[in-house]
Amino acid sequence: MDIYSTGRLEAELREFHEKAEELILDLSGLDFMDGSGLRAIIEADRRAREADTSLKIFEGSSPVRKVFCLTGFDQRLEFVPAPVFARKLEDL
Amino acid sequence: MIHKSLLYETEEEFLSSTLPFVLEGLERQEPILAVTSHPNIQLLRGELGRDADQVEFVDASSWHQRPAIILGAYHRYATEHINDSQSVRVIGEPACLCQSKAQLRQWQCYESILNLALKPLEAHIVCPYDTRVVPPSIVEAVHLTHPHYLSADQVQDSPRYEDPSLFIQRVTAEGSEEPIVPVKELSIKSNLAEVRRFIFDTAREAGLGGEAITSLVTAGNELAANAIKHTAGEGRIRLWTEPGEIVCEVVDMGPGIDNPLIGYLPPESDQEEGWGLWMVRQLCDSVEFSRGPLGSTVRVHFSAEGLVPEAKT
Repeated sequence: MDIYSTGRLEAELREFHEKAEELILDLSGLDFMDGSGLRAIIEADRRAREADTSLKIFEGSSPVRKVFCLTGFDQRLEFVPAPVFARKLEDL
Repeated sequence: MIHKSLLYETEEEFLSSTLPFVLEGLERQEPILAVTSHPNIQLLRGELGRDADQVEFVDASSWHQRPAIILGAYHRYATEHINDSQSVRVIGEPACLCQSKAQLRQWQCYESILNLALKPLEAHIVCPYDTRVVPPSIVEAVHLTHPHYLSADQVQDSPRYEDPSLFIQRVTAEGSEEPIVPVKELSIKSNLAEVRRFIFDTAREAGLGGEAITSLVTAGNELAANAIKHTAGEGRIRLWTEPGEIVCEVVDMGPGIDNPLIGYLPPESDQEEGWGLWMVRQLCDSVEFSRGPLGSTVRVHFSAEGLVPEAKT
């Protein structure tokens, strides 16, 4: 995820935020994330806190985790281990 | 913020300034952080007795060794204790990793930047330097980067103190020569995936290990992303190896970076660039910005084991 894909993520996060009390962001398939992706997630977390809803994140690969660690957001965001079989929204 | 240097070559010289500094802090009930060598910690503990419990001692040899990370740690200490008292005190004698010229330059610049980075904070910092072991170029820089110095517990103004922006510009220029080794280059062309692949392949060819490659790709991606954001995507990324390190440079025709402080402190409002350059400074041994006829340049040095020297042509 970088500056090109972040815009789409931001739009989807905003859309889901309006509909859901709990938002789960699945990064488990992500190989890479840069500062712009981090920013989108920080923004989504801030919106969730303000609205008293929850944002949980399924961890990504090592480069993705590194970005959260370098910036201290590994302590500030809520991470949960990705389930082995993740049900897609459309299966529900 | 009060920033003083202390050059010493004996235990007595070290104690004659640091002990009164700590005692005054204890009297004023100010939080005290003492980062120094194990022998110096023992010296201070010996003099302080039970009062030593009031001081947070950190053994420099097992602490951070990269200047940008150290500066971030001091900033965190000062802001975390901001409500505890009027001011915090720091004895800052970290173990500096300064083998390469780039690391030496970064170390010199870090002291200069400290004046700007911690300026708004209530902090009183004494930086001891053991002249028996510290490289002469660092000792020389101490006179230029600290507004005051201590001598037998007397404070003197440093007549040679230099404005941080000027100092950093001058020191950075020393590291901006064209490399004489082969350089691999790629036009950025608004394609970050290609940039990342380029860094990955070049770093792997050079012998870098997995974790180091991840760090370099992360840093290089941020620099390239900044070039894309500030120019019409016309930028180049260049990579080459020097003894023990990989150098990565991004050149573009954008306005460049004016603020020498950028990336040293966490951004206040989560802007993209703030975190990007913060990460670059955390990951690389040195990060240097300059401007010239060829455009704006950011050059980072990244030391790593296992680097294969370039074959001479």
